[in-house]
Amino acid sequence: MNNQGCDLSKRDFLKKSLALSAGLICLPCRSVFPASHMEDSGIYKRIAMFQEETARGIMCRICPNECVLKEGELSKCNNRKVHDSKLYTLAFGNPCSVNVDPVEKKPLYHFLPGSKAFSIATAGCNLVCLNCQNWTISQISPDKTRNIELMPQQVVSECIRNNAASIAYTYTEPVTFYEYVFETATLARDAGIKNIFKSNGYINRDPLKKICGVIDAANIDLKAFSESTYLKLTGGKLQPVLDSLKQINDSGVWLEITNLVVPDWTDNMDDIAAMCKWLSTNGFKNTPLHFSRFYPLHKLEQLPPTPVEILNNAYKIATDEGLRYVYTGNMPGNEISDTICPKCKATVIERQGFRVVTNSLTDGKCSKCGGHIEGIWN
Amino acid sequence: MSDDAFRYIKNYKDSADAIILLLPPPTTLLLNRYYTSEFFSEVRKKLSKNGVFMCSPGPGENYLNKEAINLYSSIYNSLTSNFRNVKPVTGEKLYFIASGNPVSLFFCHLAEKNNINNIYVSRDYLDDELINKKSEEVMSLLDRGIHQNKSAYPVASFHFQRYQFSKNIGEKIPAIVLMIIIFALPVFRVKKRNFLMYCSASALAGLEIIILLSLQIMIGNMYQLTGLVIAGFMAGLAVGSGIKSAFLDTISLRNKVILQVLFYIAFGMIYNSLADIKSLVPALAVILIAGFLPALITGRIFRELTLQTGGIDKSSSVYSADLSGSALGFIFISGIAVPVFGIQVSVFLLAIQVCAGIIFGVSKNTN
Repeated sequence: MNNQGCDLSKRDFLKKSLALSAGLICLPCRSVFPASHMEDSGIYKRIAMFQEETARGIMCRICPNECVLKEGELSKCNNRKVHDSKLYTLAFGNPCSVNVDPVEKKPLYHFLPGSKAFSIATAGCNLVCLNCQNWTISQISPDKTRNIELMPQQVVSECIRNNAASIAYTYTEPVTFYEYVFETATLARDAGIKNIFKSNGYINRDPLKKICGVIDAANIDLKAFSESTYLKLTGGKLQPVLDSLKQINDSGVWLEITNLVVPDWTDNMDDIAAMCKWLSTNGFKNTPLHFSRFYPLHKLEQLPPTPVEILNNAYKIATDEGLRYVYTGNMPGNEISDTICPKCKATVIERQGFRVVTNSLTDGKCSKCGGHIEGIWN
Repeated sequence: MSDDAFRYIKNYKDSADAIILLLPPPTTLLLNRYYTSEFFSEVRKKLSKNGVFMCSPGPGENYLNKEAINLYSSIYNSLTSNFRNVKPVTGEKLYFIASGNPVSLFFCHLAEKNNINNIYVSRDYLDDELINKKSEEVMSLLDRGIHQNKSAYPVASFHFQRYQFSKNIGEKIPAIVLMIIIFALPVFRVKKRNFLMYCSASALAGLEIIILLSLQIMIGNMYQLTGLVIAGFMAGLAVGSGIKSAFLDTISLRNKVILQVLFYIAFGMIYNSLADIKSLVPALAVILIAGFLPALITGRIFRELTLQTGGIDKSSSVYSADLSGSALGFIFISGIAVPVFGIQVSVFLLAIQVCAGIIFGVSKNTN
């Protein structure tokens, strides 16, 4: 066999084959690179609140990331974009996750126990937690997810239809769909529905002050208690979260705190002790603290679930520091989930999983000793 | 039980009311075997009349992204090809429950009705209505057009890789394709007289990958047998390049290579029936011979090209072509061909590679 009758040399054949292969490969890849000139202008839902024009671009002032964006640039939370020299939110009326959950699942134990929370979330988050359980929607922009159209008034209607006592802004990070939360919460209040803010607390002072005017309860994730761990685990800073906790506590919004205990990251007992001491000395003795068990997820799949004894040790440290309402969760059969009267130590609310088995409170007081139990009970 | 689970199920004589697969997701081809149509078929045969099978191919997320949908769709389609009723259940993982009979997802109600006392499967933690609602939601997302996961077409493993890649949104560039391009670049340095060596070595390397994968599918436990397989290839190369044989010398180089092409085509055509060999000894024999014969021809090509050209420089250039071809073959077959085309089609691709060597590498001066 020889090349006499063949016009195509080996080199030409290979060059053309490689060029064809590269072309075929590039066809599906074109979706990777955003074609901004083909963008659907419908993605720009609302003009964003708390924006400021600077010499370097438009600054978003909602959270400590304080992204400065030029035309067409997307924020770190994947939810804000500059269009025609204005900052827009891409998240409004387009939740990707809608569920009805027991309020205990948030977790909120001292807020309308036994009630249901109509829970919504849009895509996006201003942190990049390695263990995020909702990473498929938190680390992506709302224009890339399958969304449901649910404008604020519809959220309220659906909440009523599902006999839920509250609307919970949760799963991802409500700070990043701030405008949607604000408008929905305002309408919900008018309709007598409570609002729950399940957040990482990574928000600036002024936006937090404004949102506290329309929400009734918050559960804030205190993800770590050292700056370096916080940064490595979440990509954010600890201090703004501590500031948010104090601000919410002072605002009168009902507050509960969650600490996810992650092996090798946040299971250090000294750090937990320091956290509990800080909470105790900064006015959080009556704030329920939930220690939650970690399960391998996202980028921490190589870790084991948190051992039960670690959570029990954390519980002991917290109660020894004087914190009055401490719970452990996410470990069926081993949870410490009953509410105990801090005065007479009687069980005032017995829980099994997410279910309230007995509730012996009377007007927020222990039925045995009359001691006041902090919370919003009806 | 200390045996490969697939073989255990195949040889299991009794029938079971419930078979629960508690394995990690199909992260590797070894694990992928337990999520294939072939495995599910064996499971179905071993279930009793009202028997139920459960597997959990991945995490149960609140929101399923595209990659997760493709993964679960491939498993779901493999299950539905064997079971009349399959339902997804979202929990800490995504569970598939399959049976010949209708499947009820009212777990709490069933547990209460049958007085099964336990902590977790109860209204304290679960909501039957919500479970059913989420199940319907997942069903509406599953794509019936996604290819079934089969032993010779391990598409679920490939989808799982893509799912893992999706966790790093910025890394969507097909890294494997770039690697293949890098490993393909040496082809421009290969001289025409060595191009046949390049192509033959590339095809042989690809066959080695395919044989190792087939070992997983046919026999399962491959750790101790991997060495045996590779030894078969090496023996073929050694015999081909080292043995002086008057018989083999009578066959022209071109005809030897054509025999190699025909071998690959025949191997591809009978591949599916090879995968059904149940006994260990015949399976091993087939695997060893399938590696030895084409390696012998490749070794012979090496011998003839180096004897023709002569000199250390020329021998080293043939050897270099051999090695660079092998590098391309390993990565192309494992990284692209098998995930995209499946194993059987990949075998035919090997034949095409060798044909390219014949067309462009066998000069008119060799007969």
